[in-house]
Amino acid sequence: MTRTNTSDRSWTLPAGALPDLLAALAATCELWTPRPVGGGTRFLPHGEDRPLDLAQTPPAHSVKAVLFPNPETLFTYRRNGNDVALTPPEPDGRSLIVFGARACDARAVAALDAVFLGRSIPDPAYLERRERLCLVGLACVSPAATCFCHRMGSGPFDASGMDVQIVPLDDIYVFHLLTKRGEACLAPFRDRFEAADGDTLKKVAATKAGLEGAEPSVDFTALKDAVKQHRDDPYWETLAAACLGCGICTFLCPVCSCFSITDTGNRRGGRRVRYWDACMFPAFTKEASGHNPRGDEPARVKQRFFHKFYYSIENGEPPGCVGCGRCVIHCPAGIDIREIVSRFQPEAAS
Amino acid sequence: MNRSLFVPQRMEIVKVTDEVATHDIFTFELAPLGGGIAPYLPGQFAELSVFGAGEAPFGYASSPHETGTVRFTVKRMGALTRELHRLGPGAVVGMRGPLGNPFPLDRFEGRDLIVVGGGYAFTTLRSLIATLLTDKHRKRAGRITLFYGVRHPGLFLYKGELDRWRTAKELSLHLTVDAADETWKGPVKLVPDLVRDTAPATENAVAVVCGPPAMIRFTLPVLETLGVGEENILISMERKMKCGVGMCGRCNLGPRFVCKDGPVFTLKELRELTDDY
Repeated sequence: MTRTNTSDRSWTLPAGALPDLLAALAATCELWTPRPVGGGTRFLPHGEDRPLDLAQTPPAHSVKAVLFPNPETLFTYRRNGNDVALTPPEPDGRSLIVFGARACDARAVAALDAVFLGRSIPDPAYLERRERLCLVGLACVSPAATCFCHRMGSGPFDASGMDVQIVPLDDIYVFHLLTKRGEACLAPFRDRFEAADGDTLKKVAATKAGLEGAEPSVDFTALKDAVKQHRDDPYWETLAAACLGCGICTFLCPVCSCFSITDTGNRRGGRRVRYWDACMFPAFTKEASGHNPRGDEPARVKQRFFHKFYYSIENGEPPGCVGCGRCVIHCPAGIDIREIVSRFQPEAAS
Repeated sequence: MNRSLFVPQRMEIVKVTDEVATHDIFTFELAPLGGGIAPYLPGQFAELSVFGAGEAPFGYASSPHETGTVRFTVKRMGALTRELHRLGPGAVVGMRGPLGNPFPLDRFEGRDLIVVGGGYAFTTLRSLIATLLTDKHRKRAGRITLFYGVRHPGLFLYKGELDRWRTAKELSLHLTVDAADETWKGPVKLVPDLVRDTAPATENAVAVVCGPPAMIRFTLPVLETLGVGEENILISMERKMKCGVGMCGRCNLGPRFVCKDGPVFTLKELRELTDDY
């Protein structure tokens, strides 16, 4: 939670002053804000073209798209006679501010870090953005019915992974500065804020207290041990019978980060790009010979949940689910990850 | 900052060898354009790029003592390999490697080695045997028994080298085909049957198996029946891979990745990890 509640690290901003603050940040930083596209809010480069949407909870699309863009150019190639020139993209030197991320998405960054920074060589493009990242999070004051972050060891006011946490009160925003990076990003705009007084901090504490007391967290080690015992459970076939294999769960998941790599262009020139891929697709593992180690739907459904609740934990990485509920909302077959968690750890559902 | 994880080294094709009677398996010899060849060991692999067609993983067919160039033997199979097969000497391709872990050469010291290969997956085993026959390793290794089977005699890779190995005193070579032609004087049987009928000594043996899934599936019980323990059977796994470094998510066997934790696993490890090997 917040590291300190002294007022020199808790500032208030009148709600009406937010647009000007964002415009000022966008002038010097790479700023991403949640804004509606169709019916779903996603993080976009800040602009006046669409209104800010801090209400949709959670935003339909997660912060994943900012740190792990889809698609992303790894390098361009241009043929010159027999030889070929390879040019990686230029890094961006500006701070990268993501504004309005919820606790679930902020926690998911740790899981993305494990994949992109936790291997023998860090992913250079991810690292470059991660080093510039200032995550300005937003406490959830009205979680959705599908939210289950409490069960995944978090809560709507969890600030882990955030550099700044904003708590919306009636007509003000309270900005809690949690890290040096958060302070550095907002320090140039200090005169737009006022120090939070004791009454304001009491209101924040009361709001937070009102959202606690939900379901307890699962024991991830016990869950892993239970899931691990069910490699041959016919349950996976039952789930697979309903699953359409559309992959929406993986694309909207803030943690799922599987990708493919391909060339776009022709033999003379083009780009090598990576793009989001999904374990739910048969071609994900299909080899050129035709052999497919996960050629049937039950194997793919099992892979998704095993990765989230068994492999991640076994490898000492953060759990593969942060309880955002996006897959619950959008699965066309009504597959509910909360039921899967309950099945393997029924005692935690009480 | 290192921005080169996914940017391959440029390699010039210096030689292309047509390996088999069906003319669909070529060996590409590559020389680096700028920079040297990163040190590698048998069993490791690299991602080869054909710009415009993409990237795919291939085990090194060359051996580290063969300096200056690297070789990969590639069967024409899909879109990328079709494009690669169109290229000749002078063309520039990309290489990222070495990736993955090599065969545990230290574990082979003082042990007899049973090597079982089938089809074009033999390429990695060629790198292993060529390495073990160098002066550096020869003195430390026990006897090598090599089983290698293909569908018909025209499909053996590295024929010149197989002829030399036939007379190497450290190695006993057992070749087999599924179907013979008039030139073939050896056994006509499947690889697992050849291993069973030959029954190499197993008291002090480590086995290495690399080949198509069906060959692996039927060879493993034969080796176990002969007395090789599951911890002494090494299998080089193949999976579709993109990144080669444990990020893209597709080549996992349970909680481990073929690319970064393999591609070489013991049978004991595989049984704990997955149903599919």
